[in-house]
Amino acid sequence: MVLHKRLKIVGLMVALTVLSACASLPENLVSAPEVRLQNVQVMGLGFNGQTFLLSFDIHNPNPFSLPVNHVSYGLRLDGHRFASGRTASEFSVPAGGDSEFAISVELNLLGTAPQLLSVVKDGSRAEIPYELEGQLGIDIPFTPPISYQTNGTIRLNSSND
Amino acid sequence: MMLAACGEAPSEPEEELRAWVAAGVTAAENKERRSLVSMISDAYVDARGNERGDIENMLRIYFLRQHKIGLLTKIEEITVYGETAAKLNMTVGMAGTNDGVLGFSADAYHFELELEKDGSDWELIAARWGELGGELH
Repeated sequence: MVLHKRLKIVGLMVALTVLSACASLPENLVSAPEVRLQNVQVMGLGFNGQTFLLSFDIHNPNPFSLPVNHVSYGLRLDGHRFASGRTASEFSVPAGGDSEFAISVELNLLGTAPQLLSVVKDGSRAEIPYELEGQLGIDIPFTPPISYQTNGTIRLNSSND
Repeated sequence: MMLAACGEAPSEPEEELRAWVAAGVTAAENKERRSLVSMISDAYVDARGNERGDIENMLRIYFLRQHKIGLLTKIEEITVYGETAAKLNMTVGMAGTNDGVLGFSADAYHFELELEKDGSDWELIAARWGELGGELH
């Protein structure tokens, strides 16, 4: 009788544990895509303005494709704010697969980040640390954007390379 | 007398289409993806290039990104063609919590749905949508 009662209590505890585990399962199961800065192409360098082509790789770790309709980004090079913005860009990243996108930016580093001018001019000689963060707009009604954040190093390429 | 006071009574297809929308809303709020997908025709294709499987993928992401879903719908217009085809214009607003910055989203979209009757069931064969006031595509 006592054993029977103990078994009942153990059974109840197991059931409660399972239920509490279910209750604490995260409802948001969409993993953040991995976005990496793949290339920075220097298209034009001048005192009044500089043009760059930023190329990004994006990996979708989810078991379903992600339809993207815009990308916002903030990029720091060598610890300095380099470029930020938002661009309309429609593409789909396949389930467990990769995609890429590129953004052309026109800057005036002399006015915004003069320290970066020398870094950019010598950028093809050394690896420059970068920090990248932003959001991917999901092309599904009512669906909030997904944030991403990454860092690494990058070597700048000139358009003549 | 009541009908005269309220205007013309809705036709049978119109009633069916309103019921179809209500069933879709209930399924969405209960995150019943399979129920919603069963309301979509195998022949579904839209101007964005989506097919039925793509819509199912969208529903999966949508449900995963939302903790709780509450939909507000307003059917703007129902046009029935020969009792077996219909176009439905509606506005859908959502109040649901998600993991956005504010943890809350409450915006509205305009949907234009094209349906066909397959036997006794209406099925979605195409759709266009866009943020309220924006372009549909």
